[in-house]
Amino acid sequence: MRATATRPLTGPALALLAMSAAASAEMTGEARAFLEAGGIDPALIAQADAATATELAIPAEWLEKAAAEGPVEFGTNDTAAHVAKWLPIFNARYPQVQVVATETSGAARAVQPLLAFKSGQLVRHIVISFEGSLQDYIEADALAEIDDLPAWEGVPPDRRAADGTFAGMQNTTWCLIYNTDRVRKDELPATWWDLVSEDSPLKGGRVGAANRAQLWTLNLWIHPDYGPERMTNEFLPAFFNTLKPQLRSEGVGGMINLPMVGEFDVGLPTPNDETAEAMATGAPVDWHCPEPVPQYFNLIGMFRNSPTHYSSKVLINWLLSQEGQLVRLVAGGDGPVHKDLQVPGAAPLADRFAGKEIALRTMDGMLYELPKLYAVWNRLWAEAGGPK
Amino acid sequence: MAQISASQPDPAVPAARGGRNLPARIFPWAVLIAIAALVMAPVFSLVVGAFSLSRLPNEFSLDNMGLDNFRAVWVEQRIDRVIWNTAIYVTGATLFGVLSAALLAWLVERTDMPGRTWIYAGVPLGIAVPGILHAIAWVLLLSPRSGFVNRAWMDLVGTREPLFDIYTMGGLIFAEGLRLVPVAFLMLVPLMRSMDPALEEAAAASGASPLRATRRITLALLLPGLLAIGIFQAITAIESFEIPGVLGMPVNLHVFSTRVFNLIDNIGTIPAFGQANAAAVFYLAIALVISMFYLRLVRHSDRYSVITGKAYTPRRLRLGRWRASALVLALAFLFVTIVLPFLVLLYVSLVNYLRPPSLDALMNLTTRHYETVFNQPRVARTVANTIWVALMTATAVTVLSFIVAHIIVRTRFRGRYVLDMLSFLPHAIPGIVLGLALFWLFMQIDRLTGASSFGSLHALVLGFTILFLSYSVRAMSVAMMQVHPDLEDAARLSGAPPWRIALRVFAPLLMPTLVGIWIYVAMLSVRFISLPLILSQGGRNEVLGVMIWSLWDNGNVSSVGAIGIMLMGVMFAIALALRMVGFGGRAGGAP
Repeated sequence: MRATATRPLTGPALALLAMSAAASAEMTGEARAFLEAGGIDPALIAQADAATATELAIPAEWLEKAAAEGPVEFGTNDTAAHVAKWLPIFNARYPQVQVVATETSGAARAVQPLLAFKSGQLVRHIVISFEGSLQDYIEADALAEIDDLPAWEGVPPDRRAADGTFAGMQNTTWCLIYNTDRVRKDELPATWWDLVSEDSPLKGGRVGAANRAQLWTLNLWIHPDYGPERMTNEFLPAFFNTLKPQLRSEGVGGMINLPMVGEFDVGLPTPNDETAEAMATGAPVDWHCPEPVPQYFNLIGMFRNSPTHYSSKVLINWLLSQEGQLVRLVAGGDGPVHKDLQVPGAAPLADRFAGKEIALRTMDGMLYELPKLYAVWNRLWAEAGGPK
Repeated sequence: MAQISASQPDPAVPAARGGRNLPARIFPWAVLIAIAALVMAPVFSLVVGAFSLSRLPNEFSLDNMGLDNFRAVWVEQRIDRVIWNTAIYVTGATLFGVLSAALLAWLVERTDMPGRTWIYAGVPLGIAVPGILHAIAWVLLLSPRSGFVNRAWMDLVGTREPLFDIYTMGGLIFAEGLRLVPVAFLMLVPLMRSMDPALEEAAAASGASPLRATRRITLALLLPGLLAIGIFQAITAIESFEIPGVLGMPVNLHVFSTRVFNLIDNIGTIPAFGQANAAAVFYLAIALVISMFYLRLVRHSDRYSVITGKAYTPRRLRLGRWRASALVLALAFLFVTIVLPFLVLLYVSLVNYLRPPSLDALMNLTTRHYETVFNQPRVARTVANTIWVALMTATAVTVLSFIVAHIIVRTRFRGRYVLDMLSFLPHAIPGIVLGLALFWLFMQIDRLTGASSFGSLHALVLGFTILFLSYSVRAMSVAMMQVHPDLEDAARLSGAPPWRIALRVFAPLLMPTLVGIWIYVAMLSVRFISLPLILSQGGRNEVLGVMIWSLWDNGNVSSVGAIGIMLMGVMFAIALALRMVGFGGRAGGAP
């Protein structure tokens, strides 16, 4: 039987749900059709379908209370078009949960909501990709526990908080986008050391770099072949002073778009999902991963004392479930973080880093090493004249 | 521009009647207190915040105050460099903008250039192009490496050197100067039109050539007006954020507005709010000094009066063989300021991916970016927010300015001079500074009351209402002065209460001004992005300007193009409506 949750729930339906121990959970027709049209392996769809019975078995009481709440608000790094794809699939299952997701900068997404929280009010209910401010969130005790979500166990233990307040939501791989008309394949570096070497063919402004140390250099900082000392004394000085990239004020989107028009030849760092979207337009760009390949998981959490407490939990649970993870993979190429979805091909441009060594950004790295990296990176960035 | 002091008592105004009832006597005081609270509360909050050494606004404590923030912005942030940059930028842009406007106004009003009517109608349309779209268009055209013009030049000549670099102080001055032209033009046209030709004719009779007469007589007569307009435009330039934000910030070329924004727009860590406030206090002080200078100048403008009540037709200079060149120059201005940004944004909105123009690109145009935009719930929500903010702000400002101007012009209220000063003060408060000030204020109010003002649409309406009050009170005061008090007296003698006099006498007579102010403020509410950039908090109160900034910041150029084209279409319609109402020209230009 297909789920009937695609219609708005009426009062009697909600009462019926409240009487049951947990809301029924089967893959909706909309999700199934979306995944099939997105080319997801039927075996994976069947696996996700089977998992819904446990992962999406949320207490009926949550849904009942969620229906009485206002819209869940959060800033996201998903483009509006991306949100427009996955949100209807979510709402097909949970029509009673209203969602307002706005694409914003890092400051508006993570810093301003924390500031508002500290002044006693909430301007966002969920927070996404707040790794740069993670320590501030922990200090402020701003996040509610979400380890009672049925889908929580699907997140590998090394990609979720020990105290249950946040979890990895999607895997992203960060490499180089390049203009295929302007860069030859033999100019591409095999390793990060090659990129910053004296004889790098990409020296002298051919690379455009965004001020996003946390997205790729942290992975190297905690990698045994690089480490804090070599990063501080060798790699990062070589990056700024030998490679001499264009230091850009634009965000990740700019790094992807600007090589298309020749502003620079190589953009760094760029994620696999958004780069794949750019490549699909027919633009003369491709993506290359020096080793070790930086990979990390974007975090998701929800604020304490949220007026949309139950709606937020329902949404986060779905985002962490196999159904939600696969839907977001199709919608915007977001790599699943779910432990049962770590299969080859379950990420855009996976062939570009298949078989290469992965440098994973760890939880400890984010909590304890990132401030040290920032201290070095920010100084070098400023000395090299990077935009403040 | 209103080159008058609105608080100068009109000799025809009847003295306050001693027998008026209590509410009528209290009302002006209530208005004065309300305006004082509206204007001074954010400023007070900003200044106090500058001395606060707490890390966050909500951790403010009187026990933790000091001068460290001022020292930090002067020493660590090198605000002295920012002052220098701002001075060059404002001076350059003002000179370029006002002189360009003067040339255009002179060609339209004082020469026999062909097509004058079209140029006169076309130049003010530049107001319709929001500054951020102007700036983005210039990046797409003149970015040193990928700008379409530079790329074509490099491919053509085989060089790696760009023809122009828009990311320079020269680029900033050029782009901002062009943006100042329409309003300066609207201010200058009436001056040129109303000038008594007797002196020029006397010069001609004395044997001076037409050009010499223009230089020695026309320019000399215009100089005080030009100076006042120049200072007015300098205040506009100093508060501008869009042009330096798009063209200066990427290369660390900071002026005050971008530096203050930069201090609080921090991705990774909690920003240095106290330092931002301290920088904003420096910024506000400079803007206030310039504004006071402007006020002094226009207050004594009667000393330089050369406009008389006599009927006359100004003599037009015959351009002879320069007629065609003059027209080409004027058309080039229209092309560069209106047509070119529109075409560039239209192109990027239709091209399948961002790339320089080519035959292949033109053969593969697509409407999918428009479809993407239309399919986004965010866009519908943002448009609805923008319309709501524009409607509410325009209405609030129009009503408030009507009340304030009425008290200033039509009563002998003791505090009217203070009211006049307070209503002008917001003109000196840059949008980014007011945004920061309100940010602090809302944080404190919410903390103390449990309200949710921060991040609401009301916060934007309040901010815009304060910001645009000075424009509208000035325009309203000028219009009210033109209504003879006899009409009011007649109504009063007939027993009409003040509210009925306002509705039945003033409102119909001032309808063009009321409508003009309403439309102009609505348009400004859509164009301004500095204030909402600080007060906007996502879906609940995101407006179009903020969304365009966010999309541009994220490199989503095609969506910026699609939204920009639609926005420009609407803004052109509003600008045309403004011209049809006749608000711009009648009262000496834009308010």
